[in-house]
Order: sequence, then structure tokens, then C-alpha cells
Amino acid sequence: MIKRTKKSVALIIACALAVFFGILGIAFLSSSIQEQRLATAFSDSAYAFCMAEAGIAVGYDALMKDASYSGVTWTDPVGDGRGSYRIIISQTSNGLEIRAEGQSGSMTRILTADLATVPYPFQNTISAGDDLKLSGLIAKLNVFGKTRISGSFELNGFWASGTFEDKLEGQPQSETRITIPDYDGDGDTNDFDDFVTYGRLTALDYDEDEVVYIQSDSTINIFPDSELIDKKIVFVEGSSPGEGDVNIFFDATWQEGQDLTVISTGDVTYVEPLQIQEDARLSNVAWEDYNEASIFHSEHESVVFANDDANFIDILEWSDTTGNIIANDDITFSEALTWQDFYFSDRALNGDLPPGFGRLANGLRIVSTKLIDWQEVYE
Amino acid sequence: MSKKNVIIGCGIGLLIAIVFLIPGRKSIHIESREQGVATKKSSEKEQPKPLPLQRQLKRSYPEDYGMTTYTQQDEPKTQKQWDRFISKGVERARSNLSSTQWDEIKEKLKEDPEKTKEKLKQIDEKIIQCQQELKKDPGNDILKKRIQRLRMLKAIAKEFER
Repeated sequence: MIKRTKKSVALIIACALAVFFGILGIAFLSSSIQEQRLATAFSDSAYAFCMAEAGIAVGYDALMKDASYSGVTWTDPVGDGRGSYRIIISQTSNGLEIRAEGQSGSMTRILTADLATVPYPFQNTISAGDDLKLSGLIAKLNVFGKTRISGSFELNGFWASGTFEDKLEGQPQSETRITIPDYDGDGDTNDFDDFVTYGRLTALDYDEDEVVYIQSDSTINIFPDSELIDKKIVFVEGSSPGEGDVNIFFDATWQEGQDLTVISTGDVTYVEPLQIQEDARLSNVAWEDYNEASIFHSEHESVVFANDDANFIDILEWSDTTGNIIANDDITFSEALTWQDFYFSDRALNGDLPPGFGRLANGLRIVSTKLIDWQEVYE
Repeated sequence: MSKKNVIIGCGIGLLIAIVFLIPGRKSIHIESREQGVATKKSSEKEQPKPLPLQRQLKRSYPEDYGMTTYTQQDEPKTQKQWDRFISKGVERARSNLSSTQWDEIKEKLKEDPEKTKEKLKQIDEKIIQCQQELKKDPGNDILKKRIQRLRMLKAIAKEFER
């Protein structure tokens, strides 16, 4: 009896061991098959990523040559025949998105890259919707970058001279002007109500504590003040065109890299520009004129848009301005003694528009050369 | 069934369970490691941005931001009034700035006093010239604004000359 029981136990153990080693073998086999699959998937995934990268590069090059490029459907296998890609170009609120999908084996990787589209004037240092006038006894104007004038360049004065790196006259106004969209919905663009609505919507685009919204028909005088820390928009809204003028003395930015835009339903006059903060930008949008005056050397970075004229009069010492000057009518440089240098900044062209300028960016647009964002998309 | 058989049975069961569980867990680890970046990135991307609430624009008051205002009636007109106006603004700005910042500004605006005097003389001449033109054309707002700007510049020069 004991002998039989021992035999039974030995049989059970032998069976169990056979089952155990059998299962162990199957487990090792399945594990190595799985490893093999994972290795293939990893390799396909890396290859698909390369395909997507190639798609972005091809899409970018094509857009630089032709802004109306719309992409391609799945390509034939490329490289060593292991993968292919397709490119889809779509409109976004800020510009264009290049979506490139790369495929290899069963793996698909998706990359997107964003490019800004901005109005034509942002590719210029100076854009005059009408004439550019330079007059003075000893006036010297140097403009680096593009100068685009819809009217003509007028030069008056004994020793007045203008040096332009790249100047073209008689350009279409669609390339020199900014039109305020029909924000009030009355069917007309660029009227005063459109401008007021533009200002209000712009103010609403930002957090309450980033905005100073003043309703006043008085002239507002801005001096450097610590309360302007973190502010993005100062909007002075007058009750009718030309009310709510703004005078800016020295500077209004308060932090390094601060980007502040002053919007006025009247004139904006910048007196003795003197940017105190590093890399700051103080931009201006005026329904009427933009005026600049200085007695000492002045320098600042600004994007200036005047729906009417931009006047650089009474500049009594040499001045440096970096950015984009856009006036829908004339731009005038006039004084007995003036020496002004204007440098182009590609920040706006590359999509880094100053606060508030996004809502002005309609009409004919050009595609920025710099990617403003890129990312991998997981779906 | 004897106690011994039960123990043996349990041992075999445990071994089988271990054999099945280990590769399973291993593959889960590999997969999650593979997708680790993806999961993180997509969760970062998908974080919902708070929707902008329909809100009313809040009116701000210029004096809260060190701004001054004037209407057409009470705007500074004479040079003395402009000097006082600019002096107050500069004083307020100076109290906001650190002494280092203020020194930097003064350094930037530093100029040969003779040169500044010459400029002030030019400004005076221009103001007289504009005033004469304004007499002929009293409604010329451009001239009025230019006189204002010249007075502002003169006041700034005087303030920094001190």
C-alpha cells in the first residue's frame, strides 16, 4: 500500500515537472517572440518618425516657395523602401499648420509644425500707405531692411539725405497698409467703430490684470511706473475719433522682456523714447497719428501702427528704432537737424506679434520663415 | 487526499502562476516604457485650457498706474506749466526706480551742457516760428500740437540739466 502511494506521488511530481518545464518553454518562446515584435515595432516607430520629419521638411520648403501649397497624399515608399509620408496643410488661428504623418510597417508617427502668417507690412522696416517725406536742413535717414511706399519718396532740404537698403515706391496698398477688420459687423472695414471694437476685443483677449482699460476723452500721460509690471495692453478709448490721446514719456515697460502695446483712439505721442528694460518692446496702435519727438539720443524697439500718419518731427538728436513702422497714410521725417536709423526686427514676421497686433493681422499675408512651434501628436 | 498531496498541489499551482505572471508583467513594463514619453506628452498637451469666460471689461483709473490726465481746458500751456508737469512726472518715475536704474537713465541722457543749451535755443526759435505761423492760421491743430511737443522737450532738457 505504501509502495503504491509513493509511486503515485512520484508520477504526480513527474507530471507536474513536465507541465512546469513545458510551460516554462512556452513562456520563453512567447517572450522571445514578443521581444522580436517589440524590436520590430521600435525600429518601425523610429523609421516612421524619420518619415514624419522628412514630411515636415518637404512641406516647409514647399510653403517657402509657394504659400498656397496644400500638401501631398501618401508618397510611394521612400529611402530604402521601408516608409512613406503624407503632408496636410491647414489654417489655424495664427497661421498655417504643417501636419506630416510618417508610416513604416504597422507604425505611424505624426508631427505638426506651426508657421505664422502675418500681414505684408511686417516684412518691412517701414511701410507707408501713401508718401514718405524727408525734409530738413541737415537730415539723415538710414533705413535697414525693406522700405515699401505706396506713394512716392519726397526729399527736401539742403543736406537732407535718405539711405535705404531696399526701397520700392508705388507698391500696392494691400502690401503697405493694415486694414482693421469689420469687427462691428456693419459690412465696412476700417471705420472708427471697428477700431473701438478691436480695442475692446483685444483687451478681452488678456487676463484682467494684464490690461489697463481707460475710457476718457482727456489726454493720458504715461510715465514709467511699477504698476505697469506684467501689463500687456493699455487701451485708451475716447468717445469719438481723435479723443483719448496718449503721451508716453521715456518708457512704459517695467520688466526685462516686457511686451506692452498702447492703443489709442486718438494720437499716440512718444516723447524722448528711452527703453530702460532689456529686450522689452513698447508698441503703439493709434487710430489717428503716431508722433515721436526727442531732444537727447533715443532708442527703442517698437511696432508702430498709425491708421493715419506717422510723424518723426522734432528729433533733435540721433535716434535708433528697431521694429516695424506702419502708417496707412504718410510717414514724415522732418527737422532742421535729425539723424535717424531704423532697423528691421523679424520678431513680428516670425509670428512673435506684439500684444493686440494679432487682431490686426488680416488681409494679404505672408508666411513666416521661422517655425513658431512643433510637436509630436499622439492619436 | 493527504496533507502532503495538498501541499504539493499548491506548490505546482504557485509555480504555474509564477511562470505565467512573469512574462506578462514584463511585457506590460516594456509597453509602458515604450509609450512612456507619449503618455506624458499627450497628457501635457491635452490639459484643458480654462475656457475664457464671457466677461465685461473692467474700467481702470489712470491715477492707479501713475498716469496723469488733462483735458483741452486744463492742459499745460505755458513753458512754466510744462516744466512743472514734466518735473512732477519725472519725480514720480524716479521714486519708482532704484537709484541704479535712475543713474543709468541719467548716464544715457548725459550730454555736453553747451550742446543742450544750443538745442534749447533752437527750440525757442522754433516755438516763436510756430507761434507766428499760428497767428496766420489760428485753427491749425498740427502747429498747436507741435508747440506742445517742443515745450515738452524743453521741459525734459531743463529737468535733466539740473
